[in-house]
Formats: sequence, structure tokens, C-alpha cells
Amino acid sequence: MAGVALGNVSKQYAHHRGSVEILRNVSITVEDGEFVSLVGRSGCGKTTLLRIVGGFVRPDAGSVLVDATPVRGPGSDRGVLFQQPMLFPWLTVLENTLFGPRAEGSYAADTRERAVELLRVVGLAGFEYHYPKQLSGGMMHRAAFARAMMVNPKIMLMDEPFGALDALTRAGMQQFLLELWERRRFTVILVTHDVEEAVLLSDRVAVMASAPGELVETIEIPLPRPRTYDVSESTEFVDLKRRVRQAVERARGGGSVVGADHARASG
Amino acid sequence: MNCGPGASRAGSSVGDVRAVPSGEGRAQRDPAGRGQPRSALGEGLLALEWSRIGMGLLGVASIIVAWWFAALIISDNVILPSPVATGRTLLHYLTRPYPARGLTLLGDTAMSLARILAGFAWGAIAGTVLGAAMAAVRPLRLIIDPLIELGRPLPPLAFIPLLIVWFGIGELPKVMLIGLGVIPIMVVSVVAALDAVPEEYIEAARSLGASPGYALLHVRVRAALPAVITGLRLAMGISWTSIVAVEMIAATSGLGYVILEASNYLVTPLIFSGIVLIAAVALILDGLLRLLRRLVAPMG
Ligand SMILES: Nc1ncnc2c1ncn2[C@@H]1O[C@H](COP(=O)(O)OP(=O)(O)O)[C@@H](O)[C@H]1O
Ligand SMILES: [Mg+2]
Repeated sequence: MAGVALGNVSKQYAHHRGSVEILRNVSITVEDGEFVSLVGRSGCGKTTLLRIVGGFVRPDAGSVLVDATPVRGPGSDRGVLFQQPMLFPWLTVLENTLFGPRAEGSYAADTRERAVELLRVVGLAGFEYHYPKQLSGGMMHRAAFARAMMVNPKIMLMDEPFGALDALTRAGMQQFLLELWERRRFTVILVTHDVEEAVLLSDRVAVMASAPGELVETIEIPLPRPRTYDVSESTEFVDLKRRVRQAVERARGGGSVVGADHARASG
Repeated sequence: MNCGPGASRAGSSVGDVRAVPSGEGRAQRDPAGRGQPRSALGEGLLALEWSRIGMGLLGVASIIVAWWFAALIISDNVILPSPVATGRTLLHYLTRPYPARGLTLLGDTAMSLARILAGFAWGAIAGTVLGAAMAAVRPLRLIIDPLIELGRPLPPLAFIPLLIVWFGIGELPKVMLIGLGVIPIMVVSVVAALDAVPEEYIEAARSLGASPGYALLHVRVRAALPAVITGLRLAMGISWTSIVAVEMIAATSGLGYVILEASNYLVTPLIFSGIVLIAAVALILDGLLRLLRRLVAPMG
């Protein structure tokens, strides 16, 4: 089992006027192999929540279990993908992909071969010796994917990974992620602004309210699997999209001055 | 566990996932050469490199031509010797000692170079260590930052008399002075370079299984390297200012001393020879640092 279980997670950040409550009593369970999206207005604490699961931030209160074990810090069981691909610019695509095995000391005879194969899977065959700067935005994201997959994470944490891409490339990446996930069924927590993206990809969409960040609603997405992009034209899809959007509207939090301020700053 | 045969199977089990086409085609057709096969890219860069060198030479050539014209018009070898006269003097004294002195121009150049390298080395090491410590330990930064800010506007040259009083007129004060000029520049560059490394790099590395130490060394330090080398280039520039000044005040060798001596005897071609040699050696040292930076940051 490689699920995620958050129990009453709370987080405050120090602020010039004292402290700001970012997350309040967030509880959610993500099953092994489940794809859950997190939506909510910007500044509501989605990134903070993801960073807590990633082990980069410690919550003030509550429990964070991954694979039924308390999270103590980052680890290769949880892959992360950011809005920017964050490939290391001094390494070639292949070397980027090999970073994980080298770093964790699991480099073996077949590692390089596996990396080349994985790059082929993500559509980067022939680009092994290119540097990240020589790739397009979508290609960089797929290279970042390959790099993350190399250490076989059981959980992928994605923070608006396609947010900076143009619409066409984003659609391609969504399709790519959908297919990869259908095959491998790793656990995913995806933070996104894009309601359509959330409905298309997820088994469940969790909606957060802001100031403080609270989970207010979880919407099941019972669309059949395997899904393709075509599903987005079904009336069922459109209905679900509307439900999620309305939930996001309802979740517009208290909107204290500080909260609104933050939302603007990070939006 | 991650590299066993199971992992390998997992890798190939998604082998038939359709690759997403977006992007590749664009990269292959990209006129700037991004995404081109390696050799073509190399050729493109090489062409760019040659045109860069060509433009640089053009700039130097036009300065020399302007100098030549000015010398022709003035036609006074003491006020402005022509490039040819300068070149003749330079070549002549390159391997022959100037009558009043013991060293050849080559010897003086070596002298200045040795002082620079020694002063630059200790200053760069001390500045880098200090900067890295400040980037890592916040209280240290809070203590040292104001000192650096206070000391930075002071020209290193203001310390020459003091250093002479303290360390005499041997090599020590000169090497000290160069280092003192280099340290604040390196501290500022190193702190800025390490600060500028995005936290996400470290987080990506940690979630790929890197220990904090591994991420520090292989990611934070590595990512900061290009900017640190840029700092070294700036520091090298300051080193030349320091050495020439100190050689004019308290030395009996080195290019700064040659220039001062030549001015005392009104041998203007020798003054120009000294300046040309400084420019040449400085250019070579800077070129080496640029090369180093290129190696460290392959794509700029
Ligand atoms: N390290 C931090 N220190 C102080 N405040 C922070 C920090 N990280 C995030 N915040 C604040 O927490 C709030 C939630 O941020 P974030 O989790 O990034 O929201 P989202 O990802 O939903 O846009 C924001 O108001 C942000 O300013
Ligand atoms: Mg965010």
C-alpha cells in the first residue's frame, strides 16, 4: 500500500502581524493508485499541503502518513514535479535522468539502459545528449517526468505541472500523463487551477477553501477508465466540470484582508 | 530495490505508451539550432564563436588604427609613440633588461603575474569560504554583511601605506593587498550565487533520493558555480588595479614599476609596452576564466 493519509493537518506561518493560519484541520486519504486533484483559489494552501506530503515542510499539528508510515522528510518514494521542470541545466537529458539512481546509490548495470528506455517512453528518444535549454517546454516537462520515474516513486506530487505551458502543449501533456498513469497506476496528488484538467485526470477532486485553507468538498469523478481526451466532450464530463466549478465558487473562504493579500501575491 | 529486474520490467511495461508529439517537431525545425542533432549544433556554436572573435579583433584593430593616426598627427615619440615604435620597444626589452634595471619585460611580467596569482588565490579561497559560510549560517551573514558593506567602498589602495608599515616592502604586503581587494567581491558573488539557486532544485534532488549533503554539493554548489566564476572574473580585474598601484608605490619590479620608471625617464614607448603587456596578460587570464565558465555551464 502506498496511499497517503492526512489527519487534521494544520499549518501556520509567521507573519509581520503575528502568524497566519494557512491550513486548518485538513484530513484526506488518498488510496494506493488513486489519482486525486486538489483545486482551490490561489493562495489557499495547496502548495503548502503538497510540500507537507513531500516532507519539505513540517505541519504544526496533525499526522501525515505515507504508506502507513509517518513522513519525516523528503524521500524517493514521493516524486515531485513543479510548474517549472527544474531540470539541472548543467546536465544533459540523460544525465538528468540518471541523477536519482546516482544520488541514492542505486546505479546498476542496467540503469543507463533503463533511462534510455524511459526517455523513449516519454518521447525523447534522440534527445539524450541535449541540454535542457535545447528542449521545448513540453519536452522539458517530459524529461522531468522521466527523471522522477527513474527512482520508481510510488507517489507523484505535482504542483500545477502544466500551468506554464501553452494550451496545445498542455493538452498533449495531459494526454501523456493519462496514458502513463493508466499503465503504471502510481498514486497521484495533482494541484491544479484548471478544473477541466482535474476532471479529465482524476478519480476524485478535492476542493479547498482559502484563509484558512480547509478541505470543504470532495467530488468523485466516475468517468470510465481508461480515459482519453475524447471524454471531455461527453455531457457527463461537462456536468462534473460544472459541479467542481460550483464547489470552488462556494469555497471562497472568509477572505480576511491578510488572506486576500496573500492570494494576490501568490496568484 | 529501484534498480532490480522488477524495476526494469516496470520501465518497459509502459513502453508502448504513445509518445506525445507536441514539441519534438518544433525543436527539430527550430532555426536557432535548439534540438538539432549534436554535430550541427556544435557547428552552429563554432560559427557563432568565430564571428564573436572576429568582431572582437575588429574592435582591437580599429583602436590600433586610431592610435596610429593620432601618433602620425602628433608625431612626437614622447607624447604618443606609434604602435610600431611601441611594438619595437616591447620586443626589444622583452628579453633584454632595461639599462637602469635588472629585469627584462618578461621578467617583470612574470613578477606581476606571480603576485597576482598568489594574492588572487588566497583572496578567492578566503572570500569563497567566507561567502559560503555566510550563505549557510544566517547569524554569520548578519555579522559580516555590514563589515563588507562598510569596507567595500574603501579603495584597496588606501591600505597600501598601512600594509607597508605592518609588513614592510617585501612581497607580503602586495599579496595581502590583492587578496584584500578580492575578498569582498568573492563574498558578495558567492553569497548571491548560492542564494539564487532555486529551492525547487534542492527539493527535486531530495525527492530523487539525494541526502542533504549530496544535494548541497551536487546541486546547490554546482548550480552556483557559473555565477561564482563570474565573480572570479570581477575579482581578477580588481587584482590588476591593486598590483599595478602597489608596484608603483612600493616595488622595484613588476609592470607597475616599469611603467613608473619609464615615465620618470620619459620613455613613453616603454610605458605603452607595460600597458600593452598588462592588457595581454589580463586578457589571457580572463579568457581562461571564461573558458572555465563555459565548461561549467555548457549552454551559457
Ligand atoms: N514559507 C512561507 N512563509 C510564509 N508564508 C508562506 C510560506 N509559504 C507559503 N506561504 C503563504 O501561505 C499561503 C498559501 O500558499 P500556497 O500554499 O503557496 O498556496 P497555493 O499553492 O494554494 O497558491 C500564501 O498566503 C503564502 O503567502
Ligand atoms: Mg501553489
